[in-house]
Amino acid sequence: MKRALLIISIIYALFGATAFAYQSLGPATGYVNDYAGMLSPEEQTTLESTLTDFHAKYGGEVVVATINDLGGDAIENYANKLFREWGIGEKDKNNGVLLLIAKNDRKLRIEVGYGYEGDLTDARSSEIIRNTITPYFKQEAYGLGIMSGVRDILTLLGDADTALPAAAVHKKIPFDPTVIAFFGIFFFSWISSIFARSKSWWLGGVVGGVFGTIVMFTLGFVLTTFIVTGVLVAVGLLFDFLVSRSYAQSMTNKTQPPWWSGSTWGGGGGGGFSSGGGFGGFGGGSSGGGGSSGSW
Amino acid sequence: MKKYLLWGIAAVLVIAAFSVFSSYNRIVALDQNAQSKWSAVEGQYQRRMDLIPNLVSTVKGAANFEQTTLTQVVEARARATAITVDPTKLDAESIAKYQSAQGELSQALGKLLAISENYPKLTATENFKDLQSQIEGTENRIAVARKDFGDAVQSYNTNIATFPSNIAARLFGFSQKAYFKANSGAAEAPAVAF
Repeated sequence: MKRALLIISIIYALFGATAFAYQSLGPATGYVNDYAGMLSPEEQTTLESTLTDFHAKYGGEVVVATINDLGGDAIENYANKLFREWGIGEKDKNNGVLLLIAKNDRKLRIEVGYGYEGDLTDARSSEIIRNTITPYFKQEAYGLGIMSGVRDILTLLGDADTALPAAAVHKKIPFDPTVIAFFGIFFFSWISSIFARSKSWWLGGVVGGVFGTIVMFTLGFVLTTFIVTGVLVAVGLLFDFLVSRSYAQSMTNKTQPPWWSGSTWGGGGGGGFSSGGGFGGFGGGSSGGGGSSGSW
Repeated sequence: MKKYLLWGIAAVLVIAAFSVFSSYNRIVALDQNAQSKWSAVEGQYQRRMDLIPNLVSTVKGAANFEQTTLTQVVEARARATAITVDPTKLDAESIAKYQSAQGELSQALGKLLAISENYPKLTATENFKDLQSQIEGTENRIAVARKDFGDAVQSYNTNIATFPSNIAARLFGFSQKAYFKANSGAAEAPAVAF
């Protein structure tokens, strides 16, 4: 017990002021993130589908998050950091809104992205909080309060948005890890097949050097990139040596070379890009602290 | 043998030249970023100043509202309007001046809003509530813009102070930029005294 306290106090001493500051909630689970359990399952489903529809129709992203407490942080600060971490709204439009509710602190905030500041002004956000949401919250009708608040927000955003052409809605392809892994393996096998077939044992080193130079061009740190280039040359040489030897061996033994040294790459590769049904995240929008806060 | 040595020296020189160019480009990008973050800060302060005439006229409408506070706000606004900062310089002196002028306005405005609480008829109007939420919202935007500016200046300053970009910075005459001082932060929660 004492030791635990000691460890905690050391951690607090190390992190200083940040000990009470914003702590990441991790990636968003959808448009509705009910960490404080303020919504019934039916309300959650209704809200989620309404907000998904809104995004599909208008492109904007309206997100609801309920948390237990702010951990001593100001709600303005918390909301802005969460908004930016999740990247609510499309990146080039910043058309996002976050309705954040801290249950035990009895505080709430509507944080508005840059792109929606004209439609959902500070005064309008404040009115929604004062006149729509908090009267329900005072009676502990949280679900009703959140639903009516979101309805008001969508009304303000939707009316302004209907003037936009429908073509403005575009679909983003989620960049999920399976795709990266798939291309990574493909690239690896392609490179190694070239190295293995080539007579040289040094081509890998040259390619490593070229990559190092590219890194140097983009980053421009002399000392670091010298090391990076050196390491890449060494790795390239070793890699080429290994695949060439293994290829040569399998040629003399008349066996199929191992898959990683790149034979023909005929079979497999199927499966496509299944995203697994998880939530793909938001569009990467940002907020400059627009909106309004309130309490109940 | 001598030929190889010459080639080696040439290669090192080429690499050094590329490194200077690329760190120069990076410094310019960070410099531009800090300048644009500064203009966001100025924009938010300007937005606050634009709200004040409206607030003053609303408050004046309330029966016998205390005059001295109102005059203080109007005067502080006039002084703050007069002070601008050259975005290409962003030196410590001009930023400190700007901050103190805006800080005075913050204080006068805070006092005005606090005194307004004594006029329940005034604070009950939707017009006043809207103005109040707009001013609060702007204060929050100012805090966010100032934080973003501070982050931009920090990455710029760190970049031009560290090897190897400090060489390019000295070569092309880039100097450190100033921050806001943290004393009169509008974002900090007010202390509660019991």
